Amino acid sequence: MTTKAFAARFRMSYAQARYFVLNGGVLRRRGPSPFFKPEEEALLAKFLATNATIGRGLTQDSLSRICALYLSELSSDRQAAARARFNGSLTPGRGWVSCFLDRHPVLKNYRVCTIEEGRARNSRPEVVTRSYALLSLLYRD
Amino acid sequence: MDETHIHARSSAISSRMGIVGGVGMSKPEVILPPFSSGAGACTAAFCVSAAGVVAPHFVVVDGQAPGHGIVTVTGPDGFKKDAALASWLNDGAIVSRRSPPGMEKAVFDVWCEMFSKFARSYYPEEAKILSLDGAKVHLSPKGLLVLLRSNVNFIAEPSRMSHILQALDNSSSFGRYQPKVRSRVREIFFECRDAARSFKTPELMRSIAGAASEALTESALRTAFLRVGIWPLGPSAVSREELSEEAEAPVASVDLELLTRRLPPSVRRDIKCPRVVNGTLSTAGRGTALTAPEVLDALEGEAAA
Repeated sequence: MTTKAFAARFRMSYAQARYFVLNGGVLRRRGPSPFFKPEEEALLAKFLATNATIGRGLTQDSLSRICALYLSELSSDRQAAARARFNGSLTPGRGWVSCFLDRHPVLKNYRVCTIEEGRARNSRPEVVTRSYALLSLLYRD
Repeated sequence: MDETHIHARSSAISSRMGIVGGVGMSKPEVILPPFSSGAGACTAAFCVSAAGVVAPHFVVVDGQAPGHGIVTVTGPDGFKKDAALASWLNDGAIVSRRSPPGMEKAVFDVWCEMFSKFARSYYPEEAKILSLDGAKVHLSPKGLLVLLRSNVNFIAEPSRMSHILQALDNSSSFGRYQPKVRSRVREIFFECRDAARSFKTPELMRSIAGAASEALTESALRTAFLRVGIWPLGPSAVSREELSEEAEAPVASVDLELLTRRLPPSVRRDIKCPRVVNGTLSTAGRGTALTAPEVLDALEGEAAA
């Protein structure tokens, strides 16, 4: 089957079909290399998810800053590699962040609301259940 | 019951509206009608039930002379007459004047009298439970006694927890009401601009009443009570996500139902031991039955001191 016929058969453009054939079945264009090791990336993804759960979610810029902070603690070799990869800086750019999010489908961008610190601190299981227990007592009486 | 502040003026000024205009306009603007004094902002107190019933509205508007809200309106015949602002709201509503337009203990006492009258007319033989946030303005022994005489048990929610425990502070109630009131204000201010008159307090009352009848519907209120787990009582309605905010680690597994079943003996002891801190009743970390005799005694003692 020619590339043209393949593209027509699967309703894709010629360029997409050619990319698919040449790259051994990869549909999307590969982004730049991840730079961080898979274990580091998995830890970073977990860190982001946990922080979002406890009300300390990070924006994309904060994520870049955290990565830069982490890289500044690494060996000079890795720092040099990071500078080469991130255009002379230790801070990954927005492109890297969007590729990172693409690589981790468990992460998602959210529009957030805010909550006062006092309210967040008071929202504890024992306070909530104490309140429901009081209600159940009054309903019973 | 909960209060909400309505910023009519800010809603009109800061709202993002779309208008239709010709191509090539660089900075289209909309003219705002003047806001008369007292129409810029107010506080509205709503009280709703799990059956979807909304108690008469209680609104506090800005006014130097405290008392009932009355305005002078010009009738179609050109004669001026006095009209109560409450006439633009639902039956039995009260509009009170105060500067700044917010609650205080004296205003809360008026609300208690209004609500106890409503409570007596609604299943008179049955006891009712009223849940409010633990704001200090709600700790008025006079108002609480009026409620108690009408067989209304009053619970103050733990401080700063209304966003989780209160039906009115939910996306199904105030979450629907606030956008509606903003859109009503915008709609009415366009009306005022076209009629070349200013946005006055009666227009503000119309916005409040219209938005309340649209947003606080029976089904929305039933959903709100269900979502916070107050009726039917279900602590599991509170999500783990809500309990994990500002925690050291996410709350992974906690059986709220089981915990609630085990707590009543300790809560019964709490009811008899009101906690007074810095000369006022503290509701930090626990709900308080304000109409319990021990709590009322403590409040009266503090008021006398």
